[in-house]
Amino acid sequence: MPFVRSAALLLWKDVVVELRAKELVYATVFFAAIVLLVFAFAFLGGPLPTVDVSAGVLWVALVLTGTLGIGRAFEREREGDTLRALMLSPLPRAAIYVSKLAAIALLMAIVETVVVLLMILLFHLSVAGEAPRLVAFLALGTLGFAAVAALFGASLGRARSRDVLLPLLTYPVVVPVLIAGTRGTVALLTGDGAVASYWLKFLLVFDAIFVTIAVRIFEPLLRGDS
Amino acid sequence: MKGSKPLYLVATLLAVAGLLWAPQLIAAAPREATMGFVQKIFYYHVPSAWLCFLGAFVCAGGSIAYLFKDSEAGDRVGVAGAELTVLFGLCVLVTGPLWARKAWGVWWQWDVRLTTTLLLWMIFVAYLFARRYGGPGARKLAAGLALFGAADVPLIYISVSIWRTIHPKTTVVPTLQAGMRGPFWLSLGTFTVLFFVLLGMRLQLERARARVDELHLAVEDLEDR
Amino acid sequence: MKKFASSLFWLLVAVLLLALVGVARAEPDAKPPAQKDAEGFEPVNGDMMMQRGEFIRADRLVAGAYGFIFAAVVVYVASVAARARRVELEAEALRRKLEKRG
Repeated sequence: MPFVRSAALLLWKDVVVELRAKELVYATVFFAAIVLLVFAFAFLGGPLPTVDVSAGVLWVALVLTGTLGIGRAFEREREGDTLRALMLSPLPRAAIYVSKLAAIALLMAIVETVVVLLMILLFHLSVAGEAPRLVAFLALGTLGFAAVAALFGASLGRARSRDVLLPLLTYPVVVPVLIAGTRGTVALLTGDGAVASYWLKFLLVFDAIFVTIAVRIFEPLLRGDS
Repeated sequence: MKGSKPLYLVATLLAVAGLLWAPQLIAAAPREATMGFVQKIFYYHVPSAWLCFLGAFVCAGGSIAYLFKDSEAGDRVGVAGAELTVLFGLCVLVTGPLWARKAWGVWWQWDVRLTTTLLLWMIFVAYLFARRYGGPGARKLAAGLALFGAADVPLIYISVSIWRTIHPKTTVVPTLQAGMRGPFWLSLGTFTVLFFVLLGMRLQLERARARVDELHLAVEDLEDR
Repeated sequence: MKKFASSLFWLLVAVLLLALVGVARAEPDAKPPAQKDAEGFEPVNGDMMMQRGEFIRADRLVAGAYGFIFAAVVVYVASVAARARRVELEAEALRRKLEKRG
């Protein structure tokens, strides 16, 4: 079966499963909201938060929610042992990884919509006119983060400390995404177009490199130790 | 252990030579104009940094061999490289602040190179964690992380450098005063030899472990008969 | 092997102490006493960013740096040696098992 069709089919399967259960979407969206609330209490004591703080809160909330969501998504896979079943099927390996990545990106898109709306409300984030580029930042940043986290999430298998290991392995690697995301968002919100474009391109490069590597090593990683 | 005694002996001699002789040379080297005596930390700080990065690339190289060719030797090189990265990285991260305290007045200032080293160090600490606690398939997982880590180094460097920078300029080596070059290259040379001796020791340990695994299998075979 | 390892260890400790003596004897930055000139200004010394009165000797920092690296390498070598010893013992036990049933 051709690559794109397999990936699309697998993505559709994940969407349907989630539509029936709805567990993952509700839980992660709610988690994101709670994290934002916690940040609100931490930072909104006095004067309005600076642009730096808002950008930081946005991206940290996304990283935390993403970690939780990805962890939970693969937990569900483990329970049904579906990953192993997929690996045994004749589907192209890269398609399995890409479909997982797309599914997570879709989940994160929903979460991010809610997060941005809440931030406009609670943190007085003013997106005025910069909405398309903010969406681009969120999309590219999420893709970079998810590319790494999904790969590790899938490979952690039945490791006992997998909940702690996922952030431990992912966060140091995705620091450039965090820096690019926050600095880029700040540039966007303060009207510095050139800097924002730079960070957007940086994220594009990061995504290109890491999605390529991840697609390439997905199979050896899941095959396990020889 | 029989084969490794010579290596341990060499390591000791190196330590003796490196740490007795080098300080004499270093103390005799001209004092750097702006930073004074504390700049002498640089003779150990910079080589440690270079070896930390060398270790990371050695680990990445081994990991690639292990991931794509199922090379057990590659895996051994990977874990040995990772341990040395963590060891020398720790040296950089301790000596850096000790130097920074005098040079800049604060222990830590998010300087590019120190921050990049910190992140690299954390990635390889995570490598060791992954190997230990990653469950089945842990070694491949760690190898994947090493690959990501190595690819990430330039990206981390670029993003952090745009974020902050105060480190002395890279050209601190070529524009060294004549009197400083000798001790510096001696120090670097000693450290590099030390690196390869430690690598050799660690690889020997891994090979011994592999032999023990084979012995276990042989015993199990016997018991099954 | 145990004897070899422990004599190695003590040799390294001795080297560390000698090295520390060597470093301690090296001259630290001479701190000129701050003297007010005619207009009441004091000449600045090199450590502009440190608070008044706070003073960590440079040679202590240098000794600390070298000492740490030395200690770290020694601890690592000791750790590799200890692990190697354990693996060797395990290998011996397994070889004996094989020979018995051989």
